[in-house]
Amino acid sequence: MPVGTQGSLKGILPEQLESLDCKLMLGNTYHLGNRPGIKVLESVGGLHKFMNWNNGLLTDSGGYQMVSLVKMSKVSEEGVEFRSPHDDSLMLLTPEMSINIQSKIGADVIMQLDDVVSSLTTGPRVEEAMLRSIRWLDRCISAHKRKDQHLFGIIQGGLDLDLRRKCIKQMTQRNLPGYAIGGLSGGEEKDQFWRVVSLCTELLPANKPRYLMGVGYPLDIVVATALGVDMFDCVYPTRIARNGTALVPWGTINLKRQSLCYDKQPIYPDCCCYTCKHFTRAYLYTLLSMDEVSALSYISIHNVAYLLSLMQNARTAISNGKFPQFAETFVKTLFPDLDYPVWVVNALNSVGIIL
Amino acid sequence: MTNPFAIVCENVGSSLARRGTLSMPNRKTIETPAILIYTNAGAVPHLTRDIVQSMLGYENLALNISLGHFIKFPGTYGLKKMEQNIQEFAGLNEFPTYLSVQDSLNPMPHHFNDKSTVSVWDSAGRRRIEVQDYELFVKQAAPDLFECLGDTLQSSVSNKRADKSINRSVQHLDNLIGLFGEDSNRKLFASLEGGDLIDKRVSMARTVSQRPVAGFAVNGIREDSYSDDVALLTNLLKRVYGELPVDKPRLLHSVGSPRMILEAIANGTDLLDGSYLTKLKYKNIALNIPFEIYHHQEATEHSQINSIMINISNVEFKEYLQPISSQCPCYTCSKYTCAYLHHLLITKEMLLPTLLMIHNINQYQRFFSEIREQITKQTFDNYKKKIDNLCKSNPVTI
Repeated sequence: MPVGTQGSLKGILPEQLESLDCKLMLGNTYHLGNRPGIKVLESVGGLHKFMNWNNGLLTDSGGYQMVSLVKMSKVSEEGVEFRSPHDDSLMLLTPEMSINIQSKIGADVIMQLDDVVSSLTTGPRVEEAMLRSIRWLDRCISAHKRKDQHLFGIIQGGLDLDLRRKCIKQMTQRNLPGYAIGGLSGGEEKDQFWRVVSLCTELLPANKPRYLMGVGYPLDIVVATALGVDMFDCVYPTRIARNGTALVPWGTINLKRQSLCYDKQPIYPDCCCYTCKHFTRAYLYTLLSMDEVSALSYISIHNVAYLLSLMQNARTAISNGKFPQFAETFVKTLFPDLDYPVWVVNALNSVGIIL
Repeated sequence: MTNPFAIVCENVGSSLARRGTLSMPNRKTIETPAILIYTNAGAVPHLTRDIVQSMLGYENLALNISLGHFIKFPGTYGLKKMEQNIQEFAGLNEFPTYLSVQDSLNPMPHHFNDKSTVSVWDSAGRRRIEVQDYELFVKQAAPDLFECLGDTLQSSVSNKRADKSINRSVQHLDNLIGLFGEDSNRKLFASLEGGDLIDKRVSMARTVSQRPVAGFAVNGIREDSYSDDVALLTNLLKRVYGELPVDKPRLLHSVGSPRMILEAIANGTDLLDGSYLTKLKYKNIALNIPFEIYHHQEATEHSQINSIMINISNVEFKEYLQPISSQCPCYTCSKYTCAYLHHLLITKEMLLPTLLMIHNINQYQRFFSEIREQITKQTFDNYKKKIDNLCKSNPVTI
């Protein structure tokens, strides 16, 4: 899922995103609740209409902003209190309010408000956050009135496998339509990261979608897919695009590199996206050298198309019973010298993919 | 030798407005008066090519490209190495292109020019261009039309400096005509200089009027200097164009507000550059021209909406759930409310300039199409008066 935090995907029009066959994108409850605010969203008839997006929307509850805006937030049993970065006013976000705002935004999938701590946090705070997330889940369920919206629970528990187990046990008893794995992708060791993901996918019900929040890099996505994750979101493809960096199977290329200034190839010759079909690296280089903003749109389109087609290829491989080969080829292309990171080898090993 | 320009119809009223066609091999014919859309390195700022094609339409769309955007990268060397002309390199295939020397939004101060070179800004800084450099670039880039090097004056100067500017510019022109031979007649636009010294401008126009060129480009006009007294511009254009053959197109650079455009066209201008629309984007302004084909619109309670230019940053728009213009058929107006545009502004999202450019270019395409129609119907003078009055009652300075 590409991320359009504030009701707009940076550099790409909704029609362009649709033509990439993107079915679901992400918005953020905290940010949208702040601006444009519930009143506008309600009177316009929801975010789909406001931003002219006809496909699926998922809204994050605002819990993550406890970590990303940690200096401006304070958490209590009641909810999270944010100090607005715009006008310094205080805003209390409770589980009930989060669900209420999300019902006005009108996304197709909504997330519970969870108590999120950085994945680097240790000690009793991790357990407290996990237990509070369960209590808040119950408050979210009671407040959840719009049954056309799917409410997902979010598994917390940091890097502690026991806490994750407890959380999953409790949350799966609520029989929700889907579950997210939260609190990861915050700078933890990759070896711990995959073990938590692996534990969660093992314990979460097989017939419900599993969504790994805030992940990530193409490599992380392929490995987590191998471990049984179904959904991902990340600002990565559009964020690096704004820096002139494009995704390719062997990693990334920065189109501001002067060695590309006469390069007649597209970003990635086998890519079918609009950018690759029409423009060379040399032209993108020239646009970037002139600070032309549409260059960032071209690269964003490519990067989003690249990730969407990576996922399409993963789905096809799964349907054809060829996912292990797919994963192996992907990792080998990324590491042509076969110097695979240990965590990747271990993670794939755990599901029987031997590099 | 074929003249690419043909006059279709001239206004019979008090103004000298004329309607014409500009034809280039393998391109759609451009109907004039027309606007050349400003580009940055061949890209309409903020718009990807698929948006240009689907949301601006191919109808009468010609692009103004600038030398400085390409002269460093890829440069003549790079284009040669990649075996591409500028159309192929920038993926402009179907659009007519007019190559100008200076970037209208960021022209080079004239004191950097010398006897044999004209300076332009490239992506890294200032670069001196000699006639031979320019010749090689143009021959490799192969734009449909290109402008002559000119010692363009960007501010008020002495008579002596103006004479120097004219002498240099005529010399560059004669050099280029020598180098391009027959092609000058079909592709080269002479650059008309003289700064704000009207007699100098007239003398330059007289000197080059019989040169074998495709058209004439008036450079070095600063719209601000004329916005208080439009008659000054009228006088200047009347006298300069009076020296020129009637059957060649005239391009006027850096003049772009609705009122000044009408003034320029009323005096016989055929082409204008579209840098003004890019300036509007910086100011978050959406045009709201009251087109004849629109049904009469009731005044709304939003005073802003009744104006010919709308500033999206106005707090009135925070909860205003109507498009910029409910009758504008452009993509932006058919899909988005002012509240959304205002939200994009507040959150500094990249899509705001994109949506504004789509709307404003559509407005100008429609504006020019309406102007052409008015000339044909011989109603241009009245039309101009009407828009003039509107602009006067809602003065907007940008």
